[in-house]
Amino acid sequence: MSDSEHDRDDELLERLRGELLGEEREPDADRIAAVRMQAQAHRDARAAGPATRRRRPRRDFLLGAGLASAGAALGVAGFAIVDDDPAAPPTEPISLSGAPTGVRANAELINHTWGVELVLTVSGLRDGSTYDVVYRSASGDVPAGSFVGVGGEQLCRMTGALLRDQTEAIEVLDQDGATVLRSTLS
Amino acid sequence: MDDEASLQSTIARARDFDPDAWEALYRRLHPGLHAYARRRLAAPMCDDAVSETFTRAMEAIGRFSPRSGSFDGWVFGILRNVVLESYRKAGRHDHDVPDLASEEEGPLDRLVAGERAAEVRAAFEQLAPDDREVLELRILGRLDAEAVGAVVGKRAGAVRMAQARALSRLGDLLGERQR
Repeated sequence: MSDSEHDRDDELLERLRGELLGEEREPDADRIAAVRMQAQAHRDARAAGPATRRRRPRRDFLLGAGLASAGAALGVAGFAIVDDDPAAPPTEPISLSGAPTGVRANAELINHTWGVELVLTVSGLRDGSTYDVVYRSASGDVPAGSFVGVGGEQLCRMTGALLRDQTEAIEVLDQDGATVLRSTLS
Repeated sequence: MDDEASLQSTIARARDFDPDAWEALYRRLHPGLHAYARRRLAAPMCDDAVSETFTRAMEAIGRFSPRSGSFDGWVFGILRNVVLESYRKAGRHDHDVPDLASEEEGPLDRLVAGERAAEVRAAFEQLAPDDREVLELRILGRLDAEAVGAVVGKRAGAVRMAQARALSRLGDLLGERQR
């Protein structure tokens, strides 16, 4: 292809861009606020050091702009707001099996319109080890994020893009992929 | 400071989780990301898809390396994964994916005035899906061939060929219809 043909294509692509974008609209203020809050929460968590890793921002921080904007209005981190929110969504307690010796855990699910949130309280996991959370379904596995064990008790909120009625099981895997905790859902 | 130097400075500050830097990146990429999502997801899901993309980007920024490609391409690659996961979540139900060839006015309607709009839209939708995605990433993300290749798993040469093929096909389709 010659330079002139390249130039012509580039010109056409740029012309198409304006059309494909349609009417550009300003991003929602709530979404922008959520981005800023999450960045700040990451920055705060890093500055505070490993001991506060349990308080890293929620994975779904940006998914619920309403929650994020509520946090913005109060001027505090979103993950702290949700626990105290009187309008918090109902939770579904689930049982966990397979916990290794010394590991204690309990968990609840929140059934969101966009997926499932796992609220996991666990203690006794290896300090510094990485754990993955996976949602199992008939159509395949969906990752729900990862977290670092802190040894003591930690609260982790994990989210995955799988609807509750499609979620058949939830597993916490160690760095070797071995199942540490499992819940089979009805 | 030129645009590229300014972008690199913003990315560097984003690695430190500077809220201003992340807002700047969000504002910069939102139009293209949202438009890409809009062509693949039902409208109510698009904002969430873009937000989820930034959630993941923020968590993974420490692993982003410019040597592996452009920042914009990296973010579009994340969005592409989010969209694919959304399809899987929905069990690939057609009702969760907009019918791009529907009668609803689409972006291509505005490519040309009046009566040619529907023809252009129809022509675009007749492109092979892979070729169409290459064009969309080139157009909406302003990604070069190398970056598009990184997103869709093709070599840059294959991307250039797909682009040329798609543009030629568009021209042919519109030319045929004009006759």
